[in-house]
Amino acid sequence: MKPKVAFFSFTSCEGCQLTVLECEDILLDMLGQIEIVRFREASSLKRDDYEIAFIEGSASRPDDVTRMRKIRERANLVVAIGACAVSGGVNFMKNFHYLQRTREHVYGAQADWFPTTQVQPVEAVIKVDHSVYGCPMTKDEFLETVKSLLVGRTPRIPQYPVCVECKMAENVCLFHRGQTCLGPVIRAGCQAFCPGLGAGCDGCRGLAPDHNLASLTNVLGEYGMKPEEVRRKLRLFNGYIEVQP
Amino acid sequence: MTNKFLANQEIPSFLSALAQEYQVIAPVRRSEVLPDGSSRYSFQPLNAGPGDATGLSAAVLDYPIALNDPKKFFFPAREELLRFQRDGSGQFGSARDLSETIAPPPRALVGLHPCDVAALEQLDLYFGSDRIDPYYQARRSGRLLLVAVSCLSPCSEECFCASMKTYRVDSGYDLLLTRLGEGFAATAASELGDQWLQRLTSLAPLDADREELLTEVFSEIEETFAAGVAFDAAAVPRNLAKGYRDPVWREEAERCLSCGSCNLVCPTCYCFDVFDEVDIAATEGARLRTWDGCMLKSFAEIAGGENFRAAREARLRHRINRKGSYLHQRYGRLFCVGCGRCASACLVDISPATIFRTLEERYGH
Amino acid sequence: MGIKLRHFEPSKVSYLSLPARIESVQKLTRAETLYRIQLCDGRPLGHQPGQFVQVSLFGVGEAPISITSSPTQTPGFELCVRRVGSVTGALARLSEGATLGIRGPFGSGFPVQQLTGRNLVLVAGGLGLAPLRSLINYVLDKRPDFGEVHVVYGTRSPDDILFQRDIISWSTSDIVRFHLTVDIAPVGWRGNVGVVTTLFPRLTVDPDNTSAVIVGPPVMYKFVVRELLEMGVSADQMFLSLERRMKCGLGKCGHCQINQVYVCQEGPCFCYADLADLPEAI
Ligand SMILES: Cc1cc2nc3c(=O)[nH]c(=O)nc-3n(C[C@H](O)[C@H](O)[C@H](O)COP(=O)(O)OP(=O)(O)OC[C@H]3O[C@@H](n4cnc5c(N)ncnc54)[C@H](O)[C@@H]3O)c2cc1C
Ligand code: SF4
Ligand code: SF4
Ligand code: SF4
Ligand code: SF4
Ligand code: SF4
Ligand code: FES
Repeated sequence: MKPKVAFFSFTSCEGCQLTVLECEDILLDMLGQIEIVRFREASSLKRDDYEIAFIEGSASRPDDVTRMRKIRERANLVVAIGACAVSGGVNFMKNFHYLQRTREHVYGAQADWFPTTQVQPVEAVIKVDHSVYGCPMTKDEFLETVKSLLVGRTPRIPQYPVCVECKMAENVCLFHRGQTCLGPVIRAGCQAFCPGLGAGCDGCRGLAPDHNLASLTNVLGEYGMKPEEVRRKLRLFNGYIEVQP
Repeated sequence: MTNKFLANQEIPSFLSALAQEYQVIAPVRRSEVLPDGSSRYSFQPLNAGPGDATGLSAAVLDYPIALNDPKKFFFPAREELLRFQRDGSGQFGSARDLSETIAPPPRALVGLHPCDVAALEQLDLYFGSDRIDPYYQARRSGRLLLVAVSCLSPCSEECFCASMKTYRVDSGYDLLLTRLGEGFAATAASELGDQWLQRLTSLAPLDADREELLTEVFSEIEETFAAGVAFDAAAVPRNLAKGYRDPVWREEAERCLSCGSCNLVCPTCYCFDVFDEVDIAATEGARLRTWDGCMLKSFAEIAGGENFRAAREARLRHRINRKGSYLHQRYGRLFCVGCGRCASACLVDISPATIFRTLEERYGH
Repeated sequence: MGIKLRHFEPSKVSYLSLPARIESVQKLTRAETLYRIQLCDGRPLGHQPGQFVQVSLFGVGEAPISITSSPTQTPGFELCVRRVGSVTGALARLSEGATLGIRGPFGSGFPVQQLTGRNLVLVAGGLGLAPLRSLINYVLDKRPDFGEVHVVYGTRSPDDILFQRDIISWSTSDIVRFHLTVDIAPVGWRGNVGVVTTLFPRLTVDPDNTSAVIVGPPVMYKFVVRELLEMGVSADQMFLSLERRMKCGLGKCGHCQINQVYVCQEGPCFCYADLADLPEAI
């Protein structure tokens, strides 16, 4: 029996849609293996008998939460695709801007702003079975996930940091170039995309599970970056970690 | 054995002669001049294959050290082991061992430093003796010419080949080039190397003056490196055994980023992970292996979450003991060549040399 | 003594698995299944009790699994597999007649030679009974070669008891003394409750002539070994089987390393006395 698959979009930056679109040909090739019963809101396909739900984007409106819960009820497997879905991604920054002002003007130093969070990653709303990291997620990892679910195994998503792939690619380390990089604490899987182009990793794939951020903060300090700046840099994609319990 | 003089202006024709028969692999520049005044280099294939003479001018023979050693040409970062077909219901189908299909072109590796040669000998011992890895062996036993280049002085602050006694090697390569003013002394170290030097008739033999100069250079190399000895390599296995529970592991590992860089750049790291990939219809695919690293947390983790080296200090201790003690017990030699690549790559200055020296201070008497 | 590192005549290793067929499938518990398997070319596997194979499902991966049947019980061999992840999960979906890949047998088995003529205390915790069963049934098939034989098995709850058929035959046999305990018991359970060591006072063996073989989860070893030492069993007469992450089974990938040994080569069965050389072992 072909597994029935649906794709859903929430608040996001279009980037991951693009990745999915890039894979459309391949997905069509896969139609022997899977049946797509819902594909983006624009499409005319709108069935609700799916088993695997791919969710892009974060929840940012009240009815998003209801929609996500409904998806969870119907799907056997929920896969969050892209940084917005996995951790709130860039969207999450909004929370800080709004909340910071609130904090300053309303609550002062004792501000407990967690409950007023607006943007929520999928896992804050419903249980997520698998995550495809990245902003945007990579085509390779998206397909790896789809194929793994097809053959019935856990997708091979790295736990180790970007440096591993950066070294395999024999890049010159940005620190040796006098620049900085978040690669040592960020989950790999992008084949060290940014360092490969000569730019420091911005952390779009989220913290690696075994990161030592405290130690990297010291290293960055030697390169002239204050802890506060490190935090701000991480916020670009990883604001969520600041409020995670 | 034949000795000749390879004048600077002869280097291009030397490389072209090699390129007639080999794919030439040599260090090429990999970076601009960095803030510390150095540059980075990387071993890369220059020509498309035997008979093609393009791309040779990128070769750099005077360089400090390459980012990665030439291990990658025998044990690639990622390679297919098997190709398989699944039958209709996803079961066995058929499988083919790809080691039998490995047929690298004849290759000339030019510009290996002594530590690279030493590292290759260690990998040969690990992959090529005893229980032989067929993929490594297929690549290593292809037609190969190894041209080493002598190091005149330590290549970096991090290298400790002086202590490991790998700054000069007498075997494990075919030709050795040693800088002598406006050229290199080319000395043969194998039959193949000798044949090549005899064939290169445009090169002048090494005259008596240059012979003498070469002897002087070698003794200068000895003196220079002798001055850099920081610990007694022969005592490393014993000191590691005594220092198994020393606080040094915790002290050093505290700042470790678990980034795995040290493993990935090490010429004597050989651990790998194995996994499957399938095509889009999930009917065929490959079993692959890829470099892995014992500094990464998942390395010793098993299903259910049990991790036999969950702590950073346990992982660091494993890596360093693996280099200086565990494999010594199996093979009777150290599995570190002191190239310092790990220490250079490490953003928090963790170096085997520091640990070896610390343990010597604490247990060496 | 000290641990012996294995050295081999130079020969090529292979990552290629042989096709094998599942002859029968028997669900033992909620998570564990017993498979009877036969190599497609009809060859016997030729294993020793305590050895393992790499089970391969192309597209999913490979997993090291102990051979649970005694080499005396051919044709074919048996594997008992707990569903915990990719390969074991995919295995659980296979049924009779399915094909899979097998490499091996690998590793050193239990030192059957050294055990001959001695009283045996065979201790299993949980899934540890799977590898130990190959030895138990081997010993029972060669019963005259051994002295008194005690089998001690501890598992989480009555629902988790593996190999009920064997257990019935062991506990009704007068050639082996079988002792069972569970960690947690429902009302009505009349057997022993508590960790395996609570059964040890019942072991009436002369420690001087006794060897022990212990297989269980990592946490179990320390306690069991301590008790046995207190009973007077000597360290060089205790053998245990260690689990590690494994990727190749060939002494190449480095994953199974404990200090200087490769568990897939020198192990998984080790003499406890030798573990003094392996501080990382337990
Ligand atoms: C010598 C030995 C004998 C074993 N015997 C049995 C047995 O008889 N029955 C049984 O059910 N299990 C046994 N195991 C454990 C079994 O190998 C793991 O449960 C299995 O590898 C998990 O694989 P997976 O793909 O289902 O899980 P995943 O978590 O998806 O595993 C992914 C990969 O991690 C590695 N891995 C994960 N867990 C382990 C582990 N515990 N040991 C080694 N590698 C691991 C494997 O390489 C595997 O391919 C044994 C392990 C060893 C080392
Ligand atoms: S450039 Fe960044 S990712 Fe690459 S090795 Fe350096 S720190 Fe790691
Ligand atoms: S290098 Fe960093 S920022 Fe760039 S794609 Fe990879 S994880 Fe994202
Ligand atoms: S451990 Fe470090 S110094 Fe030793 S061989 Fe490896 S990279 Fe070189
Ligand atoms: S480590 Fe020693 S032998 Fe190796 S390149 Fe540097 S100086 Fe040469
Ligand atoms: S390179 Fe340094 S920080 Fe990274 S894992 Fe190795 S020792 Fe730790
Ligand atoms: S499992 Fe690969 S070395 Fe033992």
